[in-house]
Amino acid sequence: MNLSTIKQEVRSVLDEVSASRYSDAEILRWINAAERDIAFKSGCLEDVLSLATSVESRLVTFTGFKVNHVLYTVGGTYSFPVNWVGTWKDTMATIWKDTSDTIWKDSSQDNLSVTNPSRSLQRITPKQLGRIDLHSSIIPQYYFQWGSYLVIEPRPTVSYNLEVFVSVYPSNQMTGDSDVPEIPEEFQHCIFPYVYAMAMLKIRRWKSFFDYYKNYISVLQRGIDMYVERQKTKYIELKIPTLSREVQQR
Amino acid sequence: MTVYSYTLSSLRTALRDLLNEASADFFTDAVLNSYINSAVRDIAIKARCIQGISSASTETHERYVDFTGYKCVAVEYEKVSLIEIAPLQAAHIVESGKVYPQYFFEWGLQIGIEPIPPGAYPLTLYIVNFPVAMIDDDETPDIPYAFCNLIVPHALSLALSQDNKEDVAMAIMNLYEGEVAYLSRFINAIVPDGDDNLRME
Repeated sequence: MNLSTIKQEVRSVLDEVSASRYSDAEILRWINAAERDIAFKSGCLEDVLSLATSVESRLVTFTGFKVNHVLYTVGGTYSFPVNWVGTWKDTMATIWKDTSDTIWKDSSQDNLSVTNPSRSLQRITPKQLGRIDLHSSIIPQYYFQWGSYLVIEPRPTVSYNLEVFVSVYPSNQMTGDSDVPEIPEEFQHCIFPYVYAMAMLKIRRWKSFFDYYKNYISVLQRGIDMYVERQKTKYIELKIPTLSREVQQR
Repeated sequence: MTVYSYTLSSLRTALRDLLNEASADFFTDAVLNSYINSAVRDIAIKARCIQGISSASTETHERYVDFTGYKCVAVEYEKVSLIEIAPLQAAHIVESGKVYPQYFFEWGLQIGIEPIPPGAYPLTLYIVNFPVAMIDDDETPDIPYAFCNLIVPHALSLALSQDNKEDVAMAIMNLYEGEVAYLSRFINAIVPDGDDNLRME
């Protein structure tokens, strides 16, 4: 759906094929305002940033308006033996055996190079700084967002790499007919009730304004519930459910 | 294509779109500017969204440290957050032999440090700041970008009140209040993760 399509549909619904009561500039402003509003309220425009801490500073600057998750990327790899029926030996001269028939070795052909796992940081409050068990470790373990900063606990002594899952706002206004909204497609239909509401407000049809705005909030909330609020799978959902009594009786 | 900029001028244009007044007539630019600045202040107060970090230092034998802003939410000394207390608790909770800053309370535009510092100790303050009024057309609000869309409904409500449309003005203001509360919880509320959040249920 591009800007041309959006404008055509808006004008159709407002029953105004060409600019009369509503100028093209006004409608364009409302469409862009709708896109921004949807992004701010849903957090649906998501990005992953690669950032790094600074030496002896808790503060990491990020772009966007909301930090949702932070991972500390340990970096590097470790060697994982994949050929479990293979053989281990510590030098060419020495052979380790578990039975007389089996010989173990850690030859390079049998090992896989695996990236060290990233570790998620837990969110804390500003009042918890320095008061949490750090498990005798100095790596980043906790964070909170303060303004445009990510605040890291414990205070890093070296540079650590972070993956930061953020919600951002549209980086470009739509101006040309072929421009498309940056918000995901599943949220783009929310633009329409917002624009209709603003149009009703301009001509002082108050009840229509509130009706359209209520509809906008309702469809936006439904989008948030379906596409932004991601539910973790629980163990019970992996099991076959027990039969209900009615089905048993049948 | 460029990112949209919430300048004083663009905010006034957005307001005039909805007031159906393309150029200054019933609503002068000065009046709309005042409504816009009022909206920015209101959002800053209710959402506590202008979050800043500042450095301060205690003075020898002086309990109080000044700060500027609406509220001091937390104080950090030597990588540890001070515990917030009430003035009533002063001198009743400090362990003997520990003279460095351990507790704080907030009163007016000062924070009180407990125990009273015997020297200069560097502090980091986590502050909620207040905005500066916009004057020039190309100035932008001090509130974060994500809150700027809320300026229009608040300012619009004030303008409609001026136009004797009090019922609609109040209805729009109520709508605005709900949105400020929602956005404040969505973006700013710091709800800590519990250990159970890390496990599969």
